[in-house]
Amino acid sequence: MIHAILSFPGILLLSFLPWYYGEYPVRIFRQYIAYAKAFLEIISIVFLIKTFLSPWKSIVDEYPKNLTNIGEIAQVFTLNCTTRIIGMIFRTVALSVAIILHAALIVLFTVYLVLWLSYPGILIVLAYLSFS
Amino acid sequence: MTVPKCDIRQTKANTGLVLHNILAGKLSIVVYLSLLIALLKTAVESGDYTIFSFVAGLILFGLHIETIFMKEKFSGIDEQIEESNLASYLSTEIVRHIHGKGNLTTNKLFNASLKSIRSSFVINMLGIEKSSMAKKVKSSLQNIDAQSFLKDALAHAKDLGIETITAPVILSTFLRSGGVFKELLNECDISINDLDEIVQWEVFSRRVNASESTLSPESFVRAFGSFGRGWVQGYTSELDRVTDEISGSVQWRSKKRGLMIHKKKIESAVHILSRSGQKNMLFVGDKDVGKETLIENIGTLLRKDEMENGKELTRLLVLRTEEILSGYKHPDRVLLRALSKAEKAGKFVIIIKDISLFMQSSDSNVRTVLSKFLQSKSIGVFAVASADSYHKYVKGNSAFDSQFEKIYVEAASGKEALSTLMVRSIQLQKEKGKNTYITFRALKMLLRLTERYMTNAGLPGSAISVLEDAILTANNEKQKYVLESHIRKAISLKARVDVEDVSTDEKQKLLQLKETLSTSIIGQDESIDALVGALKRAKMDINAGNRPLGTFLFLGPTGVGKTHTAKILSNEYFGGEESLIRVDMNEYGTEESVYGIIGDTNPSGSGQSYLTKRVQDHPFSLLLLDEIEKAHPAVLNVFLQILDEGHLTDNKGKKTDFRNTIIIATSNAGALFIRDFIAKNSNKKKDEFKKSLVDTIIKDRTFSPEFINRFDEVLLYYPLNIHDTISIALLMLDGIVTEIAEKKGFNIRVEEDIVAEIVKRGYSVEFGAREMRRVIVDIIENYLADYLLQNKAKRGDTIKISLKEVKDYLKSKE
Repeated sequence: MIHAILSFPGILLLSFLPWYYGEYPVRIFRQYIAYAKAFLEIISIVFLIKTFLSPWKSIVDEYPKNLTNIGEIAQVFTLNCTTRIIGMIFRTVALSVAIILHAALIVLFTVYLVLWLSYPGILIVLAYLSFS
Repeated sequence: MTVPKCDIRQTKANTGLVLHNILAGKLSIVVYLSLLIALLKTAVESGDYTIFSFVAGLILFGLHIETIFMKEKFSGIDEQIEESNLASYLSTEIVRHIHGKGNLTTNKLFNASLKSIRSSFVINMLGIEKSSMAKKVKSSLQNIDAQSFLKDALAHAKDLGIETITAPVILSTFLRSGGVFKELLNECDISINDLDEIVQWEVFSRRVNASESTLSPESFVRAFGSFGRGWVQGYTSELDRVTDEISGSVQWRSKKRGLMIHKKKIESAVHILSRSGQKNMLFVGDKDVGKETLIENIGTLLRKDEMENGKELTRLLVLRTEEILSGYKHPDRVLLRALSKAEKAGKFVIIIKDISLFMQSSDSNVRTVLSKFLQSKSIGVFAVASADSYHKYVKGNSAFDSQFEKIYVEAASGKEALSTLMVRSIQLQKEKGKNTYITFRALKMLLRLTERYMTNAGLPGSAISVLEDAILTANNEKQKYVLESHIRKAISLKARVDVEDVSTDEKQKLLQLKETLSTSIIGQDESIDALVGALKRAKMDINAGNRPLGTFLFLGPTGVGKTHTAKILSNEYFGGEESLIRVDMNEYGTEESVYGIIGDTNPSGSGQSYLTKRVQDHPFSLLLLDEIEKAHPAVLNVFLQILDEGHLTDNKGKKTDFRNTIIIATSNAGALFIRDFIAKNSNKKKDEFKKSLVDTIIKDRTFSPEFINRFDEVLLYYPLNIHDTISIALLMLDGIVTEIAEKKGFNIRVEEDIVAEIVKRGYSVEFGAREMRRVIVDIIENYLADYLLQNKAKRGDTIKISLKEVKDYLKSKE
């Protein structure tokens, strides 16, 4: 017991402080990266951007071979534009949700990190206030 | 050189425990609660909860920090471990159990390891109770020095690749130390190597059992999947109607499985998928070798790669083949619409669980449609076929066959199968939540018996199904451990052969086998001795290698009992003459006749030979190769493989297991030599005689030396002397008279001097006792038929047959 108690200052200086202000904040940041990546997988932002203008569910019509048939060309053009616009709308919604989620994630982790870093300071201030 | 100390108080784990007790021990919790109660009281009175909430938050956050700090810095291996103090290698769990109990002793170490949850795995694998173990070793613990014990434990942990001295390492070190511990290991039938494996499995089991947090990033991805990737793929209603999607479920199953076998096959499959050309694969292998699991594992790796690289996801769809082929009027049109949709919509892997069904379909249009889409780059087809059906149905259609990359899946190796079994047993215990444990000895026995007796199915599937049955039986019997008897019972049911533990009756039967055989086989005691020896070894699992149960070459003249021995043996050992597979080797005298053994080479031909079919249907048989000297050398070469390796791979790639057969080859080779030698050298010893005979046979080139050497025993059948012949005559006479008494109900009394007449007529130097039975039937049955026609006789009457009457009867017939 005595041996253990005697080693506390050493633990505080050599083990706790480097861990508390060095290792663990890095760990928190890494955790954030892992969650951000997971969210990117769930709502595939990269993929949604890559395919932002793609037709919805590959619903497209083929243009007629006879290019003189303006009416049919216009009809196919309209359908293809519509399916792309629908795709864009859905992807915009999905992207918006993704951005909101990422913003929430950033806020959550920032609060946690700030709390973590300031916790000993708060304790010291409280101790000072209560003694004074 | 300084001697390392052994002080638990100077370990980091101990310091951590003291720190934990100060910050979050019982007393500290009381202080925190008192403070919070006081603040709450003030808050209730003033109606302002700000300070209370703030302080409560601070305490909780502080405890949260303390938990993380303890977990990260005081459990597990210490980076700055103090090598001069052996106790610093002890795991935190062990230190916690010893903490505060004075000096370190082996007794404390042993008790601490038994208290640890981690030791339960080892104890259950050994199949003993903690209390009985403690009781047995109690007195021996004081004789071991704690310091030297820790030194051994540390060396042992390092050998096993474990960083700290954990509870399983402590137990294992004790068990390796000899004396009473060795006795304990022997009681559990566990070797030192087995023990090491158990300790390593404990580490693995912890990993398998470690539950992943439901809030972990990986859990989120698995729960929600990938949103938006399917939006670029088209609607696939026609395809969905005839397929089942397994893209998501394989991810779960792969994780649940815990480990992957057939790793090289997976790697080569992923390589094939990564290239731009043909992506169709045909997985060929026997039942239960894990073809479908392999496909699922490939799907998992593919999904992982697509996720990591932001690619469009490939969907895995299982085609409902039976439904397409039999549930629709025009299956070709249904398949065409479905696959067209798949081709148009995007990335798909279509899984066909039994491709041979398409090949057997009478509708050739279905095959045409499938062939067309096999050439498509946007669809990959994973087809599955057994080795047999692949050779029978697919290989013959070379255009179709060439569309696939073949992946040959073989049964898992013993080590892979044991790993799979171990993981499955851990999972089963976790899933069922029942207190039934599988001992390591039972697992090894399960593997050995499955490999030996369930030859129609491959590992690991066959062993897993036996394991599940054995656990169920143990549960029903309310047993704590899955015992050998449960395993044997499950295998007996599945393999349809009795491998249940050798009972007292059976042991008695085995011990009396020689006597039983001797009553039916006359004058061939040496042969009987050798046979019985081999059978005893087989029954007690001593001869459990990769060879048949016994292989014997019977040499001797005609009519001395070689074939008769085989018949009697099949009856006694396998329970009936239907287990006798008799092959007349004179039918295999030409070089081409080898195909009669290894099967047709023509892919569309009927395939298997009579021999392989019979052995597959009756794996527990006596194979009698009659007159083996008449077979062509090419045929004998095929038997070299069977005698040596215990299996035969035929022309269709189908493996037939001969390990559960007894093979007896009979031959008249050297018959003249035997007769002459005995006449001239009656004083010589039998060993010398056998050597001379074998030398003569090799010299005559009847058999090659390597062929003769492949047999467990070469047994000589000697010409019968007059006493043997009389005994045989009496035996046969007795059999026939008993048969008539049972069938017709007459009591037949035969005069003694008839026997001499039977021997005179039924025995010859050239044919031995071959004619004996015919002579007895002629004399007794024919005489009896005439007698019954001429006299009135009813069931129960006694009919006496005298030599004079028989002679008169025979004279009247001449």
